[in-house]
Amino acid sequence: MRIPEDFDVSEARMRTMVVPSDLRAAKVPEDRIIDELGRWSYDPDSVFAIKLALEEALTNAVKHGNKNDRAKQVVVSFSIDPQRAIIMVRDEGPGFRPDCVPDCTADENLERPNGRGIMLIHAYMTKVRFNETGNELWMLKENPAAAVRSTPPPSGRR
Amino acid sequence: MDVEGKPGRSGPINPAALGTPLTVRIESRPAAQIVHLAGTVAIHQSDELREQLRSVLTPSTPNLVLNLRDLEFVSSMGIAAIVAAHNDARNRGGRAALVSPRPAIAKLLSITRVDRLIPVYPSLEAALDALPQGG
Repeated sequence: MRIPEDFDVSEARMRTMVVPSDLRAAKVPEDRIIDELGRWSYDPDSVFAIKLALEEALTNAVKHGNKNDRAKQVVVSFSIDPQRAIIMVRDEGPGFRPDCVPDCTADENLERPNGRGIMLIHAYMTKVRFNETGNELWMLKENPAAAVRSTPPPSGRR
Repeated sequence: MDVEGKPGRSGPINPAALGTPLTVRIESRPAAQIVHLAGTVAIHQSDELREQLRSVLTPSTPNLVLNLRDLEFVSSMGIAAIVAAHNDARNRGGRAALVSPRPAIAKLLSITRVDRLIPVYPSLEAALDALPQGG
């Protein structure tokens, strides 16, 4: 596990689940992470965003990375606290070049059913990092409610 | 249960509702097949949804209206099923329309620009009125 430097989290704080390459099995870590978000009272928009990005990452890992081969595994590691949710998804595939994914919002690509997952992960998460081969994805979502809570009240009065 | 013509619900999503099971209800009208989607399209259900949407169109009713008023969550795979249904309808000489998405779903349709591909209407009546008459 190679944690991106700007994620500023220790490996000891990451919890890990390993599932076979099957979307039903992938629902298990997803449900666990959503439960954690509820426990920390993440706001509804953040829960939606994290669930979406996580499903995109898991779907890519199962379908494109591991090619639905149940003999291959998907590793999900996560660390969730009131300030931020950090999630890593890794598959056993050969990886890919994220910068080579066609722009799904280009007019000529709008009618293509697939190819929106990576763009949505970037759109909904605060930070997104891939490892060099592209088979390990790190995502971080800041909890805006925590930012509001930690903002000190205005000082002084006129 | 489903009052046609009502606008989509506003306000934030209830996180607990993101686990509501998906229901798919099909309503046949002369002008279109209407598919009412409610709940959450779970991560493993998108292929199934794609097949359901594919099977709903008939030669005499090539128009498809997807009522998203009670849809709580969908990922890009569910969006793919919707785009594929749009393509199917068009290939059969019909059209597809989306109705009353909630704000979070509307944002998703906007970010992906799918709302530029498939028109979005505030009510079933508005969607049906916009479809070619006679199917």
